[in-house]
Amino acid sequence: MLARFPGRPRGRRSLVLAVGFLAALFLAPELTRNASADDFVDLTLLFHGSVQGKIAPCG
Amino acid sequence: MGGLARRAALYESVRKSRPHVLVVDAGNLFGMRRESEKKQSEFLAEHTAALGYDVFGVGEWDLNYGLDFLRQIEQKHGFTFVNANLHRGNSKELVFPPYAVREIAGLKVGFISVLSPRYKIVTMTSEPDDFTADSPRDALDRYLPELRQKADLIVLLAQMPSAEVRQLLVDLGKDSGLDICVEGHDPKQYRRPNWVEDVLLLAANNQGKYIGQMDAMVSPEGVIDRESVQITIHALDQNSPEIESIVKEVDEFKAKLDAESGKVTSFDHPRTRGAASEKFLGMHTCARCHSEAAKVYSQSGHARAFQTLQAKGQENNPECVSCHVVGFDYVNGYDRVADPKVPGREQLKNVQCEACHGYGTTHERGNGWAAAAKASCTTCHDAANSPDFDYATYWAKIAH
Repeated sequence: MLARFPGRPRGRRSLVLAVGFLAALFLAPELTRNASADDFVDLTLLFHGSVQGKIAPCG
Repeated sequence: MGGLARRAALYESVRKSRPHVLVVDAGNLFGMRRESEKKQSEFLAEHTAALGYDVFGVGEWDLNYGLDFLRQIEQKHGFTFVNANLHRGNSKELVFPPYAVREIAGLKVGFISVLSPRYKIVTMTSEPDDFTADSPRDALDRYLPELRQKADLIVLLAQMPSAEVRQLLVDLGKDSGLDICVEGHDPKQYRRPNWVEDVLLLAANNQGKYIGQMDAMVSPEGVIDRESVQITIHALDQNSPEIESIVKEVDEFKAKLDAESGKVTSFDHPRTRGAASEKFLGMHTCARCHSEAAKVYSQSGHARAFQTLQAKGQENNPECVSCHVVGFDYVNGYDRVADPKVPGREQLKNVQCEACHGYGTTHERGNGWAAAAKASCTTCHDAANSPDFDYATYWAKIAH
């Protein structure tokens, strides 16, 4: 892994790695969760019974 | 509260804000057994169709105007009524398809409906009232396994008393295959998620005054994420938005209906029997001398004949009225409106003395009084209306 940053100061390499690690730590679960939630259907059911022929407000 | 215009506005609003909406009526859409309510139910059906319902359960009121009427509504408006336990007579065939499946966002949702056997179906037509509801439990045991093969999520529309619905869900147990149950009968509203044996129980009933809304995340396999379930009961009160064009249509329709019902006119059928010189006097006149016979009459079915007709909403149907009043086909016989020229004719309801014996005014002259009555029975107790009629047996019920 370190070989990918030849000639760069060691401190900068560590910083890049740390930022990358933190980003992965926070983003990966979020990305995974979103992918799973996308499979769910956001369903709405409107329902009632016993209208009993009423068409106008009453009671 | 309630009303079509508010319901339409609510549905429009929900459809704008929610991505995947299904709409169901759990039964008893139609009104009472009255001609005016039948017309109103036709109007209601037309507007209900415009609101885009997916499935209708069947309640006992939905057959108030007969099966033919309901079939016409189905065809005209593309309604889908489902019921898994209703038969006619001895037939084993169901009157309706037991269930229907609707697909939304790739999710297959099955709707099945049952009706409590305790609700009696009486139509206001001449069709036989021979509907029989089998055990809801047996019906669900029979049809749920095959519905489970076709649907990811299953919704039961239960036209039953609340206590029976809960007991049914308990009896079916956690492995019933049901996911949601919408109660359709009792005037109740459940405002929170209500789980019975892992089935989400919902209700929003009472003459269209309330609309229930359930929002939930459902997995592709039809599993409801319980944490996501939200129940909203919309009370359609005076603060609810309305669609003005529907308000106007409803007002116009109601005004027309009121005008029609306010104009009760005389029956205009030809009075082909009797004579203008004769009069029906009414049973109270008969009772002055024939008190014992009057007592027998008052306890007989003949004395409740008109009430029976009213219970079926047929009191203005000439075909039926003729056998439930005195002298319908006779000059000066029963009419539904008072006539100053024939006082009391509007009170000649029920099968009073003169329905069998003839005009009271002929009595004093004597003309085969009993013989005429005996011959008159089969005028109404014919093969179509009274197939079990036997003179001796029936006479015993009214012997006087």
